[in-house]
Amino acid sequence: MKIYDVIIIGSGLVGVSTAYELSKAGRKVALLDAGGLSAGASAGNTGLLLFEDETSGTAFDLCVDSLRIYKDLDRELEMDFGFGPMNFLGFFCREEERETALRKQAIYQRNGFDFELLDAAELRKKEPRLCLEKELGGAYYRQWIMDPLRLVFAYFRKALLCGTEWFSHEKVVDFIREGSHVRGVITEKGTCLYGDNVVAATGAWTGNLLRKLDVTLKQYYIQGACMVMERSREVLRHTISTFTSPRITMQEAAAEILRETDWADFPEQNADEFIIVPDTNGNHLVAQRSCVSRRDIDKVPQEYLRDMAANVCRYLPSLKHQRIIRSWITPVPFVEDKKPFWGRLEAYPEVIAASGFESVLIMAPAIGRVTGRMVMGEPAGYDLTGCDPNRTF
Amino acid sequence: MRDDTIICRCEEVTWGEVKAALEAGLRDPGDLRKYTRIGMGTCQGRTCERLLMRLVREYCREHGLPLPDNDIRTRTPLHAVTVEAAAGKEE
Repeated sequence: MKIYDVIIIGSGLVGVSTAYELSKAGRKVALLDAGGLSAGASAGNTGLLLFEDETSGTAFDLCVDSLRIYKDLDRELEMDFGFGPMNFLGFFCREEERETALRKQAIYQRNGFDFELLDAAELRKKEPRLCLEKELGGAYYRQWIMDPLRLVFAYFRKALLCGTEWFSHEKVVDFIREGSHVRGVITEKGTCLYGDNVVAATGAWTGNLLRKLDVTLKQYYIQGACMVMERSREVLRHTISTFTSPRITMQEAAAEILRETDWADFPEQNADEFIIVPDTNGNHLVAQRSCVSRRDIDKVPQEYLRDMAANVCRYLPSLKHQRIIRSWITPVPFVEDKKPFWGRLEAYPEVIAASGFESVLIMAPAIGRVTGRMVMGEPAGYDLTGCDPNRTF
Repeated sequence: MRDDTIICRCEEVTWGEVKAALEAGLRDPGDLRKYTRIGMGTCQGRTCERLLMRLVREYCREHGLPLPDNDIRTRTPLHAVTVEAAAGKEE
């Protein structure tokens, strides 16, 4: 009987980066996914690396450290994944947003990142194609972009070269238990894998997975839809979006409702956000209609596509003749207190949760390293008290 | 089939690139699509999908690997459609 040092459930960015770090360190790793490689949100996003809005704290440190790792990661993984700067143009819809922008500017500048506040004339000069009813100005600041699919594949490929064993389409249906210890996992196809550690890196599905151990994570999900436009000569040079994201406002409202209401009775919440991203392959990605709902939505509904297209017509009418070729929708986890569930479970110390991160794309390299250290019993190197998966609220 | 033969014309993906992904451990047609960009262009695989499936099956048979049991999932819209048409604002 083969016993792995670690079984990693979930092959999203958290799973593949952890698999890579551990197999590089000589550990025997099994990597499983219920679908193909990175079947969830890690392969269904815009590739934008959005800096955490916090001024300090663990999430902020993880972002800063990850950006440092990103600079040499293509060489380490021996694959180009298009990492680079991509400026972000956030236009204001309300006068009050200028104050929030001023605070954000101070944080950015303190950390040595560019951040310009624009008045109406400067905004028009930056993006003449943008069509607004009220021109209130905006903010122009540094963000980063990459091809998330290439990054997943780069980590995956290297992990396999370092010895990781890959189990595609193997859905974990139960854990092999011995009293209060977890010895391995059982999949839908009947595969039994034994391991000294199990990492649950299953994103939006982590709550469901750990329920099989009678462990409750208060983790819910937002489903985000996005559409892709074909390549054209008229490519934007920056990401354009409303400065304040209606999705974040919706998430806060949903968290408020969930303090009073059970998930089973949760009334669906929707947010219609405008963001258009020129991706690393020359396509425009338009996000996003998002909703907090218990419904399982696996194809973008017609009305979502209509709303996203209507936003393009409204804000960037010069793009209205371009064609939409594809769309996707995928659930991302969210937690009321915006902190991940990251660490060993009290009830089953062999199991490590690594889920519910707010900005996985930007933090992925650091998350992989830290989760690797957790498995190996080394100090995390960050203050993770707020991320304890055993916390109650 | 030569390594430099283009399988997907929209994204200019060669058989060599697909083979490299198969050798790296991918089998699932949906995965090959995501990670080589085959079928990610304007035609969304309508031209190359059947060829890809045939080549993957051949590769798996030759190497004694289990055959993939699923095709590439279709997504909305079924055909490329202009933004204004999708928004219902076409004149």
